[in-house]
Amino acid sequence: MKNKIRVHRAMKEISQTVLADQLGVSRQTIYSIEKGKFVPSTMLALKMASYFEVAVEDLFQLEEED
Amino acid sequence: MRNFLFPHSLRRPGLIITILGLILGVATVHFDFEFAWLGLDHAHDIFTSNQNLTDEVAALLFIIGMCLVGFSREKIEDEYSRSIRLESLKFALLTHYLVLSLCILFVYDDGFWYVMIYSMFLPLILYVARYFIVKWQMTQRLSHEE
Repeated sequence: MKNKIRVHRAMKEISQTVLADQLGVSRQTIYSIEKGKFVPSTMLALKMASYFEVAVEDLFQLEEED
Repeated sequence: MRNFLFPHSLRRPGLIITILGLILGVATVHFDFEFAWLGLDHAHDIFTSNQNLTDEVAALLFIIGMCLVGFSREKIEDEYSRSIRLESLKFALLTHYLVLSLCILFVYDDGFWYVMIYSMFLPLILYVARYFIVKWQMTQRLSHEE
């Protein structure tokens, strides 16, 4: 699964640390999700979408192998 | 959600307890060290073939300490740290039983007695080791990212 969190973070001009604080998770979590090494729970994905004010599908997209 | 973890503040005391247990354990098993004051006067009790409790104390200190180190909450305990815990537990159990299987095949007599002793602690050691190695690797990557 690919995601556009880094893009949306850049558009909002916030660091991984700030995003992590806002969502109540660690910076490691944000880093792992951005790198595609960790797939977040539905709850965290919804929180992210809500924070960036976009639909979940705009943040996360399935790839062919998913 | 209940997560069965200890408070983060218990991690450091856990490390100290682990080190004490480890030192006492190695001294007891390999150098026959015993605290005289932990000797039992009623050694004929059917439940106690051992007349001194030093090795029991060492084992308990090590187990309690490692549990506190490995199962204390992170400052920010979230789904990612839970996933590392789960992966580490799987790794620890599978590796433990692989090592134990090999020892069952290739180690006999007195050597197997040591295998049994160390296999009591191996899952905890492997879990804690892998969990903190993965965390350390992540910290390294994050420091390079900055």
